[in-house]
Amino acid sequence: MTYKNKKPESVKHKTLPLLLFFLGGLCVYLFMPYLSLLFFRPMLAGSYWDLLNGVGFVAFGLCIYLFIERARPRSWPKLKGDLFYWWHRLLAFALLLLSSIHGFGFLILEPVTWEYLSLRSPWYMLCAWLAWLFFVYLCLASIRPLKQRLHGGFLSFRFSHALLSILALVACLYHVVAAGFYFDRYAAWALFSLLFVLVVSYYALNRLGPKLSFSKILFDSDSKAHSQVGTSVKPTLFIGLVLLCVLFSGGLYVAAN
Amino acid sequence: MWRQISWAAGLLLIFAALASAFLSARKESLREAPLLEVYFAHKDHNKVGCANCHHNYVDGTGRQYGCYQCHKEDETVNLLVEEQFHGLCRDCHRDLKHMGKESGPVRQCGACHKPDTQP
Ligand code: HEC
Ligand code: HEC
Ligand code: HEC
Ligand code: HEC
Repeated sequence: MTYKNKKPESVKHKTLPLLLFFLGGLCVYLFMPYLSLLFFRPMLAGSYWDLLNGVGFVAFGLCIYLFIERARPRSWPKLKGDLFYWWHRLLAFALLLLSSIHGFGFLILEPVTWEYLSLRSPWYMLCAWLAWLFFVYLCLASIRPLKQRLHGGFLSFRFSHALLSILALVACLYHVVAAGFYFDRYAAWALFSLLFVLVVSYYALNRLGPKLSFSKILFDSDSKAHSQVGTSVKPTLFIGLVLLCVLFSGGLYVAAN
Repeated sequence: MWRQISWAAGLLLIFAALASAFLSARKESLREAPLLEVYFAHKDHNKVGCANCHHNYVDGTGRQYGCYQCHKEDETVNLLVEEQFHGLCRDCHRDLKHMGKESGPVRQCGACHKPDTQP
């Protein structure tokens, strides 16, 4: 009983600033890439293009975040019980809303883009519509009554959710990169791919198990993983990541130009 | 085991058939797409050398047609109408704008795709 009386208060006092810090970090992650791109190379096609593309970039950032976070319980900031479902779903519907604003905004402000609703539109636009349809399905199929109808078994929901989210992520990436709005300077590519490689490798390393957990190696000094990894490994890891970024961004840059 | 493999192979086949049907429908539709109206006035472009755009005047592709007609009929380029023309017009406008000079529309579809009022 004493445990139960004591615990919640201390948690409350500790987590509120942490939560705010986390939300601030999320906002920086969502807005900084686009703002810095805008700084390097504005679009020069009227401010509504920049605005709608900004909305699109935030949606893309959310897409990557949702993919990594995977609606799982988390220790920092604490998400337990049904809270992490709620958080995942909230952000998913925000993503759906933002990507709809991005797409329908252009359809309204630039009526010529209705041309792009046909199957002869460029590949990066076909990818975009496909990804949007996937978003709609991913969101709708997760609402409980519909989920039970569409996916009787839990496994079929998990499988389709994972598959469609991977496809949607790849389609979005192609859409952002191949539209070629901002990525005709190497600096922009390098910045963008740095972010992407870091995020994806963070995800991959974390999934490989606690031994290789990236965040634990780097930040959690009293975990086993931290002490197991020698001091020489960390610079190697870092250099490897940087090399990976250079290769990735260079390759994409050459492929696209 | 064999059951799963034959299922996967069947799905793959169906997917390949759908994809190839989609690709050929896309090609057909691209070839038959009507040209959009484009506003283009030579007097806006009198500081630009003719051969920058009329590449056919210098590289021997032929002078018998105008740009749009030839690019629409020539089998080697008629899938690339959008890519090539947008590449030409937009890139020049964009690069000039980045140098701080006056130029035409970059991405605003409506500024180019509107009725041609002057020949
Ligand atoms: C910025 C690109 C551009 C430049 C520069 C340009 N043109 Fe054109 N020209 C076009 C386009 C596009 C058309 C087709 C317009 C249409 O059909 O409405 C065209 C059409 C023409 C036509 C009629 C169609 C044909 O090919 O027989 C003539 C003649 C012509 N241009 C001559 C010239 C001359 C001469 C110059 C140089 C002084 C020049 N143009 C510079 C883009 C350009
Ligand atoms: C008689 C046919 C013909 C006419 C007329 C013609 N083109 Fe082309 N054009 C071609 C062909 C064929 C190619 C592909 C040749 C190549 O790749 O070298 C091409 C390629 C291009 C490219 C891509 C070049 C590149 O480097 O990728 C552009 C842009 C282009 N044309 C614009 C124009 C414009 C603008 C006009 C009119 C002002 C015009 N063309 C008139 C046949 C023509
Ligand atoms: C080599 C550079 C170059 C190319 C290629 C070029 N333009 Fe332009 N364009 C210009 C410049 C420079 C201006 C600005 C002229 C001015 O306002 O003095 C301009 C202006 C325009 C305008 C705006 C006119 C206005 O009244 O505001 C339109 C529309 C336009 N271009 C259409 C086109 C189209 C369509 C093509 C492709 C077939 C094209 N341009 C290719 C350089 C180019
Ligand atoms: C700088 C001028 C310019 C701008 C801006 C522009 N276009 Fe174009 N577009 C052209 C030219 C020139 C062509 C080729 C000639 C034609 O289709 O009449 C073309 C062709 C196309 C075609 C292919 C038509 C066919 O026959 O296959 C589509 C689709 C298209 N544009 C859509 C758009 C959309 C959507 C936007 C806005 C995102 C846009 N364009 C912005 C100049 C422009």
